[in-house]
Amino acid sequence: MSNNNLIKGSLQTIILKLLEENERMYGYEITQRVKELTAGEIKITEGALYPALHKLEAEGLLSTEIQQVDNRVRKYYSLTKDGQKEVHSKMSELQSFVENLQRIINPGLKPDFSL
Amino acid sequence: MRKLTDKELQAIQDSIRKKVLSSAEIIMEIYDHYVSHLQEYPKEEFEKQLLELDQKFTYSYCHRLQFELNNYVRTDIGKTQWMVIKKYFCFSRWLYLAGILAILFYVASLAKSEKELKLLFFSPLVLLIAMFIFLGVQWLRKILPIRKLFKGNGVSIESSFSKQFILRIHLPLSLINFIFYVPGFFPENIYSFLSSPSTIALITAIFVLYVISLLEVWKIKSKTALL
Repeated sequence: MSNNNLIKGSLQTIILKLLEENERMYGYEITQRVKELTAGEIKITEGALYPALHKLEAEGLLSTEIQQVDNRVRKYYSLTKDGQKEVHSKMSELQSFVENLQRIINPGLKPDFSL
Repeated sequence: MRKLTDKELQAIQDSIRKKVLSSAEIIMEIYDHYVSHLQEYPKEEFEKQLLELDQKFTYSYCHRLQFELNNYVRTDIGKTQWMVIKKYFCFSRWLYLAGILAILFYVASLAKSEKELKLLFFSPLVLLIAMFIFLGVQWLRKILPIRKLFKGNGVSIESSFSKQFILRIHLPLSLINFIFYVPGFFPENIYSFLSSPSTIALITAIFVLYVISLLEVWKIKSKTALL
């Protein structure tokens, strides 16, 4: 599955979840981590990643930190306190969406997901 | 992961230079992305991968990022400064505030001439200019290596944050310039109102709070931005 439209709606949740697990990450590292976790099935495009990161930063969910790496400056993103709270609500929102989607795709599913 | 050669780094810089960006934060983030990505590929694939990156980081995409960052920084600095100012009125800090006001009112009441009052009035502006020089040196220290790296960019590279700080430092200076050096714009009685000791003390207190709050915002933001 590499449909960008499907990923778009959950990109912020993906970023928040990764940062919850990794404390701090930089842009490229996020794209690589997603690629690694999904064995290359999901690729976050740069075109979507940076606007999403900057939006989350503007909303106060992410904080940034700069660090000198070799001969360049690297910008690390990490969760703020508000961001940490937001991860849980976004994750349960996404989980219930996936469950509902499963029910639509497979109407034979019982509420406990057994056939 | 391999170390890129000087020639390859030069090619990346040339590529980013063509985007004519002025925000140091955006330039450095894109540069870091390019280098991190290209380090993962063998030398033979460098050209192909660089071209692919250029197709992703197009001119319009980079400028949209820059525009959005500048907008965010403007509101963020404003919000942070307001948050800092509000803290001065908290119970734990009211003594400091009362102390500053008491000192300024006392000094203003001691003033014997208009010249002495003017001196009191302009004292926070001297503080503001000193702050401008101090911050300017700090910014230059961080920006100069980036400017050197992307020399010939076409536009002057600045930190998106420092631009907003400069604007906020200039604001009170311009306001005072306007009041005192544009005769006839304000009604005459504003000048007699401005020469009363208590008014001068109050305005000076506002300026002092403004300058201190701006310095605190810089302290907060310098940890996370190119300031």
